[in-house]
Amino acid sequence: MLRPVVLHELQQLMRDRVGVVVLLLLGLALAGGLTTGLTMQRKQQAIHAGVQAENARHFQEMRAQLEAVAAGRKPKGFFFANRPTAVRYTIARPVSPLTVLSLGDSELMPASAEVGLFSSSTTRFQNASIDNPQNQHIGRFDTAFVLIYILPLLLLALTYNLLSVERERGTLPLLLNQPAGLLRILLSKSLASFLLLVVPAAVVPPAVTLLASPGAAGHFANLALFVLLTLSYGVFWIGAALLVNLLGLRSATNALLLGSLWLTMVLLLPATLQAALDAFYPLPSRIELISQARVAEVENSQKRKEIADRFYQDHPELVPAGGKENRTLDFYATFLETEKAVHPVHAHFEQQLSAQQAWVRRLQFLSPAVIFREGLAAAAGTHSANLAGFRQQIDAFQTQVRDFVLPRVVQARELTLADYAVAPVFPSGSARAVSLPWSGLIGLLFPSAILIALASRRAASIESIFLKG
Amino acid sequence: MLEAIRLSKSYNGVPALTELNLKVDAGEIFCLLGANGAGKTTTINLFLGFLKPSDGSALVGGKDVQADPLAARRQVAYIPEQVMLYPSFSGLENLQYFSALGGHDYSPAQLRTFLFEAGLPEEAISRRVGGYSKGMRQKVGIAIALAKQARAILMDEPTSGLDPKASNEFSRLLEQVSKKGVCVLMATHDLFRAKEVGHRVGIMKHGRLVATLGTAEISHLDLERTYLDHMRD
Amino acid sequence: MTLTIARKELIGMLRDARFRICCVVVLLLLGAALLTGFVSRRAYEQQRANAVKAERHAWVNQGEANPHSAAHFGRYAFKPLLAASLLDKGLNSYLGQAVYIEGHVQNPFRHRPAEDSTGLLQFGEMTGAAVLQYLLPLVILLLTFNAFAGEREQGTLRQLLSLGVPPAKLLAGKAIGIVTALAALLLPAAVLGAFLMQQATAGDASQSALRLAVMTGAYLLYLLAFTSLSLGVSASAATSRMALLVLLGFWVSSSLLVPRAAASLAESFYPTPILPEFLKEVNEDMEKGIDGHKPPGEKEEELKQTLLKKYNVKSEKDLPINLTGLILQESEEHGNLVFDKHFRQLRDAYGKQYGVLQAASLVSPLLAVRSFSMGLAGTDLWHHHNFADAAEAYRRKWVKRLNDDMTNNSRTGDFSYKVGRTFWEATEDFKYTPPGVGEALRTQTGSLLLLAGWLLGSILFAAWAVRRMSAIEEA
Repeated sequence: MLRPVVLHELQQLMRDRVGVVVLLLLGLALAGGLTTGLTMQRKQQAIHAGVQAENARHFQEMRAQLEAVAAGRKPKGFFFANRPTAVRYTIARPVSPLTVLSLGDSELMPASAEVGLFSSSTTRFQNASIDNPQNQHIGRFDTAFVLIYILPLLLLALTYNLLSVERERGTLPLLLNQPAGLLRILLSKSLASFLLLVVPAAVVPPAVTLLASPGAAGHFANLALFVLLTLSYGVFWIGAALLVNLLGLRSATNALLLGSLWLTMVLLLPATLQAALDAFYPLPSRIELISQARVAEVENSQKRKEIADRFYQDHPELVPAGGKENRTLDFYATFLETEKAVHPVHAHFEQQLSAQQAWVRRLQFLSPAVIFREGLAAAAGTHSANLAGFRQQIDAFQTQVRDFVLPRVVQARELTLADYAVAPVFPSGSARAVSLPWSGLIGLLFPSAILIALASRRAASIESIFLKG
Repeated sequence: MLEAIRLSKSYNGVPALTELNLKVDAGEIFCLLGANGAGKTTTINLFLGFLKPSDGSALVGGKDVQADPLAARRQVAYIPEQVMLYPSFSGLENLQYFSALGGHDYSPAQLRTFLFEAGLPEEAISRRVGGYSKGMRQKVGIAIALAKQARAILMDEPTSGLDPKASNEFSRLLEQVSKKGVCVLMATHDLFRAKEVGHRVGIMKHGRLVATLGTAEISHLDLERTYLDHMRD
Repeated sequence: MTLTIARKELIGMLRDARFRICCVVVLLLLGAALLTGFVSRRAYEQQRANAVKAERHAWVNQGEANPHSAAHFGRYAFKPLLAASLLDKGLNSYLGQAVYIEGHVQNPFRHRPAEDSTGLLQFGEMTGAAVLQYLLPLVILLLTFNAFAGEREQGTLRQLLSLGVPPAKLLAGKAIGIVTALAALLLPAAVLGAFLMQQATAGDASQSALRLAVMTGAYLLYLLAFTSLSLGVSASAATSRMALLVLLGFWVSSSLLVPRAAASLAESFYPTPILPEFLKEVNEDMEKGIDGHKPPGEKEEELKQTLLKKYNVKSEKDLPINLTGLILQESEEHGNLVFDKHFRQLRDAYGKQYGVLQAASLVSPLLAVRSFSMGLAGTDLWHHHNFADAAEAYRRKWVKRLNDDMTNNSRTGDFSYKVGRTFWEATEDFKYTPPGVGEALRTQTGSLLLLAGWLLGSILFAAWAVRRMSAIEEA
């Protein structure tokens, strides 16, 4: 790159006030985005802590009950700490320390999972939320939003007239007479905007994250991916600006063309893709799911005719002394039957959902905004795919807990403090690391490369026309 | 009909027009001569009420333009230096639109007459103005001014895009118009045309009217010499 | 004169290639959005109808059981979608479609479609409302940003004004011309919308038609406001480029920045509790008693003593009624009080957050029209709560009937009392009548006033701007 051009352009941008204004806007936007991101991350961490606390409290209560009984006192509340089924857990989903960078799908992910003998695979993951849907629908002003939507606009504001301004000023012939070549000059000019806007946008959020979010320092690869994705996204938009400029139109027309490109890539195309997916690969209806599950449940329970079982399970405090464990076992049998009947219905649903997700992975390459969004979420650990690790851990833990509780149910044993001492503990620390989607980078750089290749061809032909004529 | 009384205009302290005193009667053609930036266009804009005078006043039909710019504009027709029209409409459509807005609802035949008088070729009338040459647009501008049937016409370099034949026809047209009692204030570089067509000429320099001459009394050569003398000072 | 100007503007617009491209794009998107909205709503209503039938079938065929057991078997309520939702899906994807009705607990709505969606959802849903709220203002801006500034740069403005055309008439003429062009653009979509609406409604045709008509009116206000604003900016700006920049900046701010920033601010000013906290507080109140009411354990004892005295017996086994049933109903009503208290607090917080959004509408007309559109389409929070409240009212009646039956028809300690098919069939099903357009309008008067305010303000601004507009590019 040509240093004098880069420096001159930077000077020009700052003197023109455009550079200052755009930088200021970026700063404000990032400040807003990072603040929101941090707030939401802390909120999710508070939920995590709350769930963990509730889980701990449950086991504390169980142990306290047993201690009271051992000491000859009456336990507080209804006494069931000696039942094997009292060993049940609520496990909090881990919160990524990089959530501040991109909220991704984290708000819609289940916050916790119920693990225990009677934890149904279909309701294990708890997704109830009391967040205001009004605000979720509007969308979040997080860092990802600023980078995906706002950064291109600011960048285009600086680069839409890269070449056209020279023509309109009348300095184009002077430029073309330089030995450096038109493309190199334009690339140098773009580099100035890149350095002014894209580099801070890529670097400041990770820096703030390292400072403000404990635990972020351990995710260096993720942060690196974040930086590279942002830089690549910037390269794409600069490539687009370059090519449009080399079409030789007026500045105003450039602005309209580039604006339309932004509109298409960032707003129209993703929404249209989603609508198309819903039309061609619609998700089966959740309502149908509920109906079918209901039918399976009813058919199943009718077979058993253990009406009292249901009642006693719901109100164990009313069960007469003796014979409880058998009933538990009976109920477990019923439970398993229902699970078996209901499972295929849910499995089909999950299958359809995965199919849609797979299509998104394929179609995302139509819009750099979508690639970028997916990449940011994956880098921040807030993509729905990141849930897979947690799900696996939970499934494994469920098996562990079942292997602990069931034998005790079968043996009709009463639990003691000793049992609680050896009860399974959910492994703390984050789930097995998910491989990072570096393919997102390729998805962004490939079209950028094409744009720049096309631009360079146009630049060469303009130069040859000029030099000949 | 048109009168300027100590008319002055400055931009940020820089004077564009200083103390202009001028009177153009009905049927009179007055040509303002001068270099670029001498104040000719400023004068016209002041008469149109597009600018507010810093001092003095411009009167149209005896009334101050600033008091009621709309009324003043209705009495005056205007042919700018660059006649700009609506590119996706034809010459005829443009004329029809502007004359309708000027308060006249002409039939297409009448509109064609105006365009013919202005010298626009028959075949061009229905073509989109986007394809017109500068001279053709000028002729439409002339037609618009004629169609307005105003008592005064302000013109800014009306012959600058016209070839000598068209320029000559334009002079004939002006003579007819002034015979009908219309007064004309024309800003121009064209010394020859000014003497040919104008009754009086005024020489402007740096925003001042430095000389006023009757064209009947002097020859073309004298006019040129006087003009260059003033420009030299 | 105004009409002459309007006619010329309209013809000019129709001849403009930009306009024709916009026409095609907008109509395609709008048409596709309306069709998909129609199809998906029809599919949903079909599924819902089937589910309601299946649910009743399951309830009636649950076999013999103790009435209170049935309270745990539970029922389901499925939320209906109004026909007007084909234009505006509103919050639907973020609200659950079904609620599980059972004893002791007021459940949240489950299965928000957003949870099942891909990441694309966050880019926005392609609904008719989205096209009208986001895309159409952009089209208006692009077609009108150079209405005055462009003519000034071209030189035709000078020509026009030199004729003595009053600027106000010029403004009116341009506005009428542009609006007529837009109306022509939207007419096919409006016809399609009306047709689909008619196909979509079964019984409540007049209500749906009214809702759609009112929504259309609001969108007109919104788009007219944008048109005025754009004309005003074009008249005040020194160059057409400046006009475009200002208008695009306004669009980005109104459509993207202000709504999201307002949502963030709303949540930080009036935070809602996180779920673990909420549940903890609910549980505490459940166990300890609330607002001067005695804790459940105490009440049980009191109740027992009262009854023993009333029927003059020594032990609960001798009571002619089932004490357990009474106790269960008692705890049920205690639970209801607790839930009422906490959900009221939650809704208060939501309401205050909504207030922040309304305030932000002063700076973003999109927020106002968005709120109004959702409110009339029946896809906003108010309609959701309306349904939720109706379902809850049903739940309380339903549980009471079950508990009362158990209380009155069995004795304390006798758990073999069962009821069967006749009892289940006699259960009243949950019937829900959606609110009428009048009620919905009443909740949205604020938004409507804001939209009217925007229109008035933008017209005044445009009128002021043309009055002081310069005919020529001043040095």
